[in-house]
Amino acid sequence: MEGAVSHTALSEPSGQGKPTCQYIDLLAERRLSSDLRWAIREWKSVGDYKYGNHLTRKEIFDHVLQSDRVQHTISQLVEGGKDQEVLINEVQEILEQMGHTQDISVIRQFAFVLPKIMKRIYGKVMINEEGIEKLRSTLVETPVVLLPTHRSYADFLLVSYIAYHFNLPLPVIAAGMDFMSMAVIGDKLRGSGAFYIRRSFMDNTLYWAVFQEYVQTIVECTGAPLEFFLEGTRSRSGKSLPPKIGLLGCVSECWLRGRLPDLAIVPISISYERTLEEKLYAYELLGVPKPKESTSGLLKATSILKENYGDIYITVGDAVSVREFLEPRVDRHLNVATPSHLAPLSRTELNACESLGYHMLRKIQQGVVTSVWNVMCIHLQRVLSTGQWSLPFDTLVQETVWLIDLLKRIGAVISVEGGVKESVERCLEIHREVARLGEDGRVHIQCLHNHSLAATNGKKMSLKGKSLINAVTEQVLQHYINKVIHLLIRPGLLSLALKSLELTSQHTTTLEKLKSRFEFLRSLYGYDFIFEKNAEGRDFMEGLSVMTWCGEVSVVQDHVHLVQGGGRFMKTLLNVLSPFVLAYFCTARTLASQEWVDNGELVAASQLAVEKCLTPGSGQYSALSLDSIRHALRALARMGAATRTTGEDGKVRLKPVVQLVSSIVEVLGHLIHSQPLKHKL
Amino acid sequence: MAASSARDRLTVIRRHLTPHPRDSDLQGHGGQAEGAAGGGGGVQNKGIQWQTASVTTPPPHPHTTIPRKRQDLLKWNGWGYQDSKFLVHKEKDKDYYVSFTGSRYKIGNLVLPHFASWVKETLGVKFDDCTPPKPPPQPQDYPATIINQEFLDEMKSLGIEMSIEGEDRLFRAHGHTLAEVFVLREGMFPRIPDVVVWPGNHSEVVKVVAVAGKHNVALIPFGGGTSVSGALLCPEEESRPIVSLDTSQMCRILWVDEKNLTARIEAGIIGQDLEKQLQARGYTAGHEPDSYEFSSLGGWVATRASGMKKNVYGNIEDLVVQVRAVTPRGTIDRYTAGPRLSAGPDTQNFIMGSEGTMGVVTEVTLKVRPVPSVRRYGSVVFPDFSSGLACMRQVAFHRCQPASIRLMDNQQFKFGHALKPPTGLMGLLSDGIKKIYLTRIRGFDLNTMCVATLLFEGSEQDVAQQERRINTLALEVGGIPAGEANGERGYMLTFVIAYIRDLGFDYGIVAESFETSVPWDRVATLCHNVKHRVHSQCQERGIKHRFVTCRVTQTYDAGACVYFYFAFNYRGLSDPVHVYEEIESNARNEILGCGGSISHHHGVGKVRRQWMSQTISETSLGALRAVKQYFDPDNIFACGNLI
Repeated sequence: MEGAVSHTALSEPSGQGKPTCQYIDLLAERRLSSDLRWAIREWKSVGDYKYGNHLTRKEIFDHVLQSDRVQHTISQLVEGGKDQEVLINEVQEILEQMGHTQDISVIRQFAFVLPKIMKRIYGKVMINEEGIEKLRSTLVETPVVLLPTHRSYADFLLVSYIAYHFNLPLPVIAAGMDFMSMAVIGDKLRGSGAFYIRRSFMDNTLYWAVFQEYVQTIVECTGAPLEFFLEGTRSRSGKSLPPKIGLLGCVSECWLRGRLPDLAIVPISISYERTLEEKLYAYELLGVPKPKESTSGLLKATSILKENYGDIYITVGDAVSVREFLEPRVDRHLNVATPSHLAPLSRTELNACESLGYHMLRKIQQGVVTSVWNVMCIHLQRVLSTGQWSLPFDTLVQETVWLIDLLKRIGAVISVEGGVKESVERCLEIHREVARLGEDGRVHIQCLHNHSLAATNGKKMSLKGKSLINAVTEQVLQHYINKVIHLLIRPGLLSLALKSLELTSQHTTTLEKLKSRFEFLRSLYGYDFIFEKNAEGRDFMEGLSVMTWCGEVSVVQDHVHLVQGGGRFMKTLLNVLSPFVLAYFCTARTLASQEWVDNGELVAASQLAVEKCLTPGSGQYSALSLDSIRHALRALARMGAATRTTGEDGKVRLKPVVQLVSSIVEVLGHLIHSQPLKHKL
Repeated sequence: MAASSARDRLTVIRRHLTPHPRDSDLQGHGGQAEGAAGGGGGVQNKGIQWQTASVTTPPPHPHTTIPRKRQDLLKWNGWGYQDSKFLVHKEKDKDYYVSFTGSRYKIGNLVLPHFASWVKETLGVKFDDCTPPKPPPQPQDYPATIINQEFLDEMKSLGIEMSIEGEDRLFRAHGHTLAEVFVLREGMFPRIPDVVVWPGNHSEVVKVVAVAGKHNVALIPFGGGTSVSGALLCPEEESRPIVSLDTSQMCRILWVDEKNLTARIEAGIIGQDLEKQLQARGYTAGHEPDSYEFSSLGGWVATRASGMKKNVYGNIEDLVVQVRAVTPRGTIDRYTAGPRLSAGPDTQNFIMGSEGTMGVVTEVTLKVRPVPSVRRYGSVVFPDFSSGLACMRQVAFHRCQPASIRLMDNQQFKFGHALKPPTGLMGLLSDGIKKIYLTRIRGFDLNTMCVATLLFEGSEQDVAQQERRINTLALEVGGIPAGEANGERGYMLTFVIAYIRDLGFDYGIVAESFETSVPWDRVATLCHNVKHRVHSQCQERGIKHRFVTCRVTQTYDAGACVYFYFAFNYRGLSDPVHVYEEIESNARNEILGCGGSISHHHGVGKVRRQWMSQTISETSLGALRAVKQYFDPDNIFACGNLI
């Protein structure tokens, strides 16, 4: 694919008949003209909601305070013996702490600074212009919620900057309280439209009421686009995190309670070629807690400014209508006769919102633009797992060409500039810290572990230093693999299902058996990977059809036949998923071993168990990810493999349901035994 | 007339034979005429009964406005009188213009200079592109009849009038939903009644129902034929003969009780005849649904109708004291005329709103009131719909509603203006001044302002006081009184608007109305959301030209009635009726989701049946079915409405 300077056409899978998207470079123009002039240009938004009212900060506060919900909550608390004055003051304080302002002068400051930084560290910032124009026309018709991916702090103002760039109405952004305490930046973010919410407040009824009313006032009354991160936090792993439905439920309530005719939810997929926090994340996933957000921390990160972080691709997806999605899933008429503030969302409604969350994450994933680097990492990790730290450049290119071709056929949008070879070279330049091309014509994977960085935290790591030599690098590679893993997970789970049924070329299995095994695995991996609710059948068919037209399996009537015991693609899939198999296997086995007092201990023990299975050259150290271990525990609990009880001492105990855990361990064990890890178990 | 002189003679004889009337009989339940009276039924009478009771003598059959051959006066394939309709004219070298014919309405025989351009702009009408309806069907065009000869013979021997003429049957095969009128214009119903019978009084109805039961023949009661719920449509799958029981000949006011201000009335009487006759005696029932020129008392009861002046007189359920209805199980009666009853669930409510599923209403005791001395119109303009709504809320809050108060949205306000007749120079001037005053001086925006129309009834003093009260409330939310003429036009248009649809059909426009009731706090969002939903549904289907508007037509303590009009240009769509139904179905879902009800007064019929369980719960629905099973175990009243 030929990439022009400012316009890159990305081909989408040919089979789906979609037109190719045009991406344009936001920075191209900035590189030619004055940033100052850009920041002070005449600015007016085009595309405001046609029924929106502009409300000042004070008007929003009054609206919230006077709302039935907040007034009702206050009167309830007064009945419980609290003082009304105090409560009203508390509401005011909450609002002062929460409330955003939207000051165009602050936006202009960012409009001045951000391009300067971006031009320095990024090559191109590409965005699909068509999506922007669709968004603009949606914004006029209906209140809009913007759901960007959250992979980096850099996400934070990106959407606002895009709005400034295209003269779109500026979004109001839900931000975690930890940003607020950052000197200067906290206030600047507030001035550019961020409002702050506490991390946990479910038990604080007054805060909850104020929060809901605040969000709904923005959506219903002002009609300003609301932006929040569906995943709740930055995904360290690079994969999508299961959706948090607090905010989504809160905005959906506007439709569920008949106060808005509809809401449009727009997925925004931001794909960084290189993540600013790549190393921090790696340590964090291995067990180094994240440092507190602070401005000085940010300043320390200025070393970042000296590096090259490649391109960013942003896809503004098609709006999803909340009404169209939820209407078949809920019965609104059951709740409309109760005053809105007295009718919290029902179980059914919350489930429907959760389905909507998963649906949106899938839409977000579909907009991801894959970098050649993501594909390269799959090979690099495989090489590393065999204990080698280098491979011939040409081999890497060949492997990458093969896999890119395959990925495109299963729906990936991949940015390739020039030829694949050139792209591989370019990626090695950008990611030279992870892997670089040596003069010997080989690609050398780098050891990223840095003792000083790990030690700064003071807290002792449970992992051995020896493990970290592989683990940090592998964790970084895994981060980039994870960015494409959503494309591979359905055929991947199908491969695991086939493998776990011990299917060789002589044997066949029935579709029914395979499907049931697939569904078991899908449920087991339901937190690590995003599957839409009630879509088991669709996911299975998707996996099966990919495997079929890759020539890995053939289906004759109701029987599935594995062609020659599995080909190259299947091996690649099994390899990509092997860290997840190992992590889940060890976690399940650890869980089964005794009754556990609390998750923290169990997580650490599970990680230790994983570590025991690993030696350089025999396995993938990214299995050490605490993320996967926690997801595994959640999934096991959900599947009924453990029961949770609160003891007399108030401690939560996790008790394995031996029979079920053993059967899960057994299935996973089959998968591990068919891989080179077996001798360690 | 022979019949009436015979009746006179009988009356005389009876008076002589009767001892002094007993007190208990004085408050008789209205069955006095039973057996004795009625057109042509005399021969079969069981004899004169000794229950004279009646204070007044059963009156003779009065003149009915609408003849038995309805098609002689009314359109066979559209709304209302044949002589009243919108016409499009074209003079050489000039633009098209529209006029309204006939002298029945104030707008009659007038050219409407602004209307053609409004239609073109709003609905994209091309007047060159006209699709006239098909001509009346030929005898062979009507669906074949399913005849039960024994039933016919028995009707004949009972002397009950009937017809198997195609025209008569077709006229009673439908109401006035968009789909039904579309079929009349473009095709033919798959099933229409096989026979029409015209019982003349309660006892004849009893006989008809009994004979129908005996021969297993289906009955569908027919009153004024103005249903907008598909209630009159014959179920296609009905394999028995279907008999249309036309109540129109049961149209007498049996008596008026001036002491208690009640009147016993036969259920077939239509609104305008009822009012004419009552007013001749100095009384009014005050029940004026928009269809009241054609709709019948029995129909009102069977659909739980609502009249525009309900604030003074009440809705039909407030007006009714007693209902008498014939079911296959027997006659439902309430023997007391006491003003209120604590005697278990009100069984009259099995009939009120039963939509022809349980039986047929034959007689009703209705409250009446003396005709008020003053009747005056008024209007108020508001800068926007939400301030108008705030005023409506305040009026309801203070319970100071005049006889009628209605708030139209901006689209309907503009539509009303498009129907203005030509004005003289002075009119032009005053219109111009008004417009300048409102827009320039008061800062009203012509694209947001809306109008409330008012109707006051009562003594001069009462009316003046009500006017002051309303004006004060209106001023508080930024409204400005806008005079009597605007108000009167508003109410006149209510009757005329139904005629517009027939004009629209000719030019590729389909139009329909639907309504709901909704709590106060949800009125604004419901109006907004439903209009939005209809627009977005149109957009999805590529409908470019459309007109969606609403008005708040009734106010209550706890909420309001909202009425929507929806019209669109269907050129380019293959099945406009289906498209319309899909959109209305979406709109109804939105209404229910926004806290609105299935219907305020149109009823459920067949077109809204799917939302019944979402309205009254499955258990209640089961109870209704059980009641139906008791009253009508063989499903003689087989219209298939409601449940």
